[in-house]
Amino acid sequence: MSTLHTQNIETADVIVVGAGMAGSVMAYQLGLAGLKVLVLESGPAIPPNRSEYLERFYTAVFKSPESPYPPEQTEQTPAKQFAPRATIQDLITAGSDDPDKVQKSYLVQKGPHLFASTYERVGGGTMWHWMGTALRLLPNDFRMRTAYNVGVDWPISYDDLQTAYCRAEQEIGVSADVASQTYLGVTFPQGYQYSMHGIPPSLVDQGLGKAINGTQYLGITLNVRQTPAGRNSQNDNGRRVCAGNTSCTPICPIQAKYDATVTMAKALDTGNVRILYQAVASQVQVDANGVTGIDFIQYQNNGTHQNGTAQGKRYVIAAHAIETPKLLLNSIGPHSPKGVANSSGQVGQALADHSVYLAWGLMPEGKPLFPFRGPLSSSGIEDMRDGPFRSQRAAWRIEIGNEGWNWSVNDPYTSVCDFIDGTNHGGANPNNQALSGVALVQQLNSVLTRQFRLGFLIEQVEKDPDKALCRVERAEGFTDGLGLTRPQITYELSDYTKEGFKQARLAATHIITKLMGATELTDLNPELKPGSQTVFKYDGQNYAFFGAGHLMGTYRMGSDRTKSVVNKDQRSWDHPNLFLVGDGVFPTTGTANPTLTITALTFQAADVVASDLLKRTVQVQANQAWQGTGVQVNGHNWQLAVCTGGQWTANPGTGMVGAAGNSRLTAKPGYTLPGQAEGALIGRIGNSGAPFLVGNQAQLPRGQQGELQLCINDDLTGRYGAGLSDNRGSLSVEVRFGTV
Amino acid sequence: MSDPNLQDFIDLSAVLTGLSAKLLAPSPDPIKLPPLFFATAQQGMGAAAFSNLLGLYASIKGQPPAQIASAVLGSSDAQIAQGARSIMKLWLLGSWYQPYNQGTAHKGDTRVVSDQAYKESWAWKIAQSHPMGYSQYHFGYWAEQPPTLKQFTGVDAKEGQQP
Amino acid sequence: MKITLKRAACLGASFTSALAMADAAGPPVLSPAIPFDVTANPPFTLDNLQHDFDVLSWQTFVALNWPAKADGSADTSVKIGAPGQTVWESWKESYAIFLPQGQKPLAWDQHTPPPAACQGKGDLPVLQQMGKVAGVLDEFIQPFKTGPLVDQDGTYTRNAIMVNQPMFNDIVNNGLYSQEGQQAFFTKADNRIAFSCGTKETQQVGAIMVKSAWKVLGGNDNPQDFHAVDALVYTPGNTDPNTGAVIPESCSAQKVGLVGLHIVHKTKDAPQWVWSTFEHVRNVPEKTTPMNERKGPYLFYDAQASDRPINEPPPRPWDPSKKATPSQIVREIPLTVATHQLNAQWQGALKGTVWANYQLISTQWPTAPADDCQLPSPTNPLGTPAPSFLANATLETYNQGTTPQASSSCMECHNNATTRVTQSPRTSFADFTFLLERAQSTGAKE
Repeated sequence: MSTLHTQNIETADVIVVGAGMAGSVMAYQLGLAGLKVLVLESGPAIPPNRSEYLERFYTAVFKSPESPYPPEQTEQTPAKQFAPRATIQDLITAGSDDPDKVQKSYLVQKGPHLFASTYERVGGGTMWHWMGTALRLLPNDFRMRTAYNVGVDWPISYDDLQTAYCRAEQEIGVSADVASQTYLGVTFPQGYQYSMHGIPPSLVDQGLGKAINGTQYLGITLNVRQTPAGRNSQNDNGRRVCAGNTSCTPICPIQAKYDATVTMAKALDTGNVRILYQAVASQVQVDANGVTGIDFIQYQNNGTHQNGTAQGKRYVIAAHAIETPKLLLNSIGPHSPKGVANSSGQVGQALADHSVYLAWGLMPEGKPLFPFRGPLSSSGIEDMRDGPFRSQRAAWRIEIGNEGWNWSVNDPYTSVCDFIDGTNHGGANPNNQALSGVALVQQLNSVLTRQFRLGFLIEQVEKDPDKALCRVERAEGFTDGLGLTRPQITYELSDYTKEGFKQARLAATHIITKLMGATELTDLNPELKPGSQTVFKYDGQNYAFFGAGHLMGTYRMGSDRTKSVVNKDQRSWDHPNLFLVGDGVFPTTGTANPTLTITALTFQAADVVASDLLKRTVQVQANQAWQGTGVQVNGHNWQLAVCTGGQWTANPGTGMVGAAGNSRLTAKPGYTLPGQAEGALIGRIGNSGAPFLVGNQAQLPRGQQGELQLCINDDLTGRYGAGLSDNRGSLSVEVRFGTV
Repeated sequence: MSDPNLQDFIDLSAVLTGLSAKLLAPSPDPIKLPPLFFATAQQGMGAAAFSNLLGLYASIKGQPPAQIASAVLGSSDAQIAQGARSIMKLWLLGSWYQPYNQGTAHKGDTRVVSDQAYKESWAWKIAQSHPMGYSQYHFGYWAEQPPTLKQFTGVDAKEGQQP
Repeated sequence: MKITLKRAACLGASFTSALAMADAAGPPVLSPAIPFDVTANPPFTLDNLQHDFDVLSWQTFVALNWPAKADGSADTSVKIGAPGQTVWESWKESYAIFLPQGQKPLAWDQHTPPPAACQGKGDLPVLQQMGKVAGVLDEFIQPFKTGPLVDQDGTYTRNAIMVNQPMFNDIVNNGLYSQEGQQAFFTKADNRIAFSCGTKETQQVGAIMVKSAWKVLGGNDNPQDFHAVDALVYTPGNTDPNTGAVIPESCSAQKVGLVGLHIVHKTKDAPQWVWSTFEHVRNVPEKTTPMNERKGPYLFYDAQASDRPINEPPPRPWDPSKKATPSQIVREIPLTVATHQLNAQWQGALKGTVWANYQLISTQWPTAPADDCQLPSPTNPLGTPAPSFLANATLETYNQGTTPQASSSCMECHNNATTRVTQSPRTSFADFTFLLERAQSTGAKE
């Protein structure tokens, strides 16, 4: 316990709030660049092994996404917990008539719909329980307003993210075959290969593929397609290969599935990163120039806690889409009257998920698909993620589940109990048979092996994106165990999204009954109870929706500072030394699971933060040979050399030129770099590095270490004439982090 | 097993679940679920009801399995009938489903008995697979046909079901 | 909770059976003959079978640690404990089998020269790995990159892996030492990885792999208390931050003492292999031993530093060239009474040699063994191992415990080992060894 006078001050070059996917990438890239990083993580440390988490999972009755992780999902005492978070248990309570439901739920849900997704607050973050699906967004996902007159445009395009997507796929280690992934405008660099070959399709995938592949639906050809996944199909990266534990969410027992602890370990290995665990960022302090510090409360397991402040030159908040706006909105002060970074009023606005329409079926007897095998999902139907219909209704991707009716009705538990008790809660026992002995084994086998489910991940678009119906705000009067105000959620699906549900239902029934010849067991008329629910009525029908676990949109990026929170570099418009990363920056949701895009964007943001602090401009003289820049290249970060001005010449007689050199004169043997333009800007790494063309800008070659040296492309030894001695002028060259 | 009650419990479980005693209680047995399940059922049902159940079984154990199952599951003693169903779920799912109010436990309370109980539970093998979160199989197995129900449980699949 | 029940059952039965065995068998016989398979005596109860496998472990331990002749076979003219390289120390080390560019290894009786950094430091065996360390320093897949084990002097312990000639032959004859060789092997539709089984019928020793843990002997260590050798302690350098901490290459000749030994033997009665593990008696206290009874002195625990967190790896980055905080390790699962009694017998027979300083932790064996040495059991690949969990405090330091898949169980973890050809279950299954993952590519195009 400390008083105001003995405030504990922690300093570093960069302060990062959150040790999840984005926080880990940020820490790793900055640590690699030589910057000192301090990470504040609200939850407990990454453990030496996953036995505590796995043990909790094995013994949990309700094996929800949060079931392995602390705080224990059954506690439901957010007012007392130090780092509480949303849980499915809370969601169930919120939709019930439990008189204590408001107190039990961490999220204060105002409705009219319940927000159905959850996240973790532990070292490694929500990546512990992600599914592993590593899909890219589609080009049109970035330009919804321009293409379809709905939603907003991102301030960047798919092409702007191409290199970053490749970096993200490499960092995560994505297994997929490129040929199967080029659809709906998705492109890859020439000759691109994913880190590992694709995961083989399950028997469920194969059975669906036989019935679906090549068929037409609403003018679109459907195909069952391999899903790119952050899941080992090879052992080159030192972790085990997938053994099909079928529990990706909530936990992979053998870490065949990538999680952020892999990247955080690399961050720690740089020697430049420190993590304070159980340190909850409580308030961001700002003045007229920017952030001056982030207050935090560090708690111990015995219930005591101490205050501290973290100070750095740059601040990055990577606390996911609910905790980040909560922190910003809780930071009201003279220079942040509406909360930090919130002059636009958009912080916490446009909270979005991929709302999920779940459909499930039972194959006819004699036609098993053998679910409950393999990763939770290995394939999907992606063909309807985009199309002209998007001007009218939400698109979706279809995730094929390998886990039978586990998500749908909690099988095998429900069907096992049904056939023992003679009930029909699961839907597979319409005759209410009560069996035992061999008959029980046979009937259970018959039913369980014929189950399959489809999950439609439906994009969420606000009717008026600038006046969002879905938002995160302060829940006045509701605090957690540290006295911090909890998040209040207002949530309502737009008609655009609801129409997507209607079309999803039709497509699901088409696939299940017409194409598969199966019996559909989807609850087509879920009860719409009073109060906030995960059920809505639309066009005469009731629909149940689930959360995909994809929380997005609450501090979006844009090109207009009055309508967005960060710019395309994910830098706060209001406070230039503050960056907000994670999928809270997504202006639209598209239909791809967000992790890969989060990772790609964070690589880009890390380049900007590193450049802020380490970029250097040097003058390169035309009349000198190789000149040192003082920039040490480590061969791993992505760095650029960019000419920012000046003129020079290798031969006054032919005139002054820029960094591209004289296009009419090609350098001869003996020049710095024969074959390139005379007078061009040339670089090399270290004294013995091979010279490379910089020109106006160039990516520094990776894999080489040493000092970057620059030079003009000229006859250095004076073999053909005056050599360097008659050269004139100079260029200014900026060396920074980034990709061309 | 030296305890005759334990053997009766195993044999009764085999009759009710359709899985042989050799599968439910292999020998040698490093995991030792049978005594754990015995204790779980005894505590869950209450010693008296549990004893009545085993007593009923002992008195009819010579009969064909279908008749034994019928007598137990159709018993007019609701605690025997419901308790027996909870024992079936215990083997198939690794969880104890409290069949009726007993002591401080309420009907419907559910708990996973142990990590091993979950890992060894039989519903998944009946599905020709493995419990979610515990696979001993090798990469790519999911793209191939599983072993047969007979290989997993000794029971033939329903007619016309699968190879 | 479950452990208590299990140990109670063990306590009851094991006193009777162990004493019975002691009466029947007399003191252990020290022999240089490697057993072909377990000798199981009825009744075939769990405790009796465990005892029989534990005896197999000690017999194998003695035979493998017998002093060797120049050709690597046991020198039957001397007794165990006599000076000289042991039988298993003469076996091929993994770095000599899985070579850069997937080159073919030298013949069994030819020495592979040590890495260049070690040239000129004497013709000594090379020890390069550390604990469960990532990337370049750890050339095979570990369940988690859990961390290095640090001794009381702040120095990292080192590991080496050896295989016997039958296993070496299986690898070389089938071309499994390179990625392309493995691919070629699997083009034949029936081929699968299946190392040779030891059988009594044909008097053949099966494939055996050995993993040893060593500490660098310091000022406080008496070499007489250890099986001590002079070795080349080699740290491969790493320049790629994607695979681990960036650290310099180094090699130096040091006196090292054996602190842990895994012996894994594939036999006809145990096609899932028999997993024996031994430790130096002074490694660590047991978790169940009260604090004030932890006398020591221990090699990996400081009774004075009782407030240091237990069983946690040192903070990253892990750089063996720098001193680290000594590890504070306890044993999570205590040895059984039966094991203690058996150990006392064998240590008694080995009295006067350094080998009396070692103890068997336990032996893991399949209670439901596969039908043959070729095919994994289709519905129970592990064969229900006994005991369910087993860890060596020097080799599985940071994941001891009883949680399935997360806590150390030899068979469970090794069952996840794969080849470099992960296309189907047939081509992926590596017969319980992670070694095949070390095969490099020759770079040849198809």
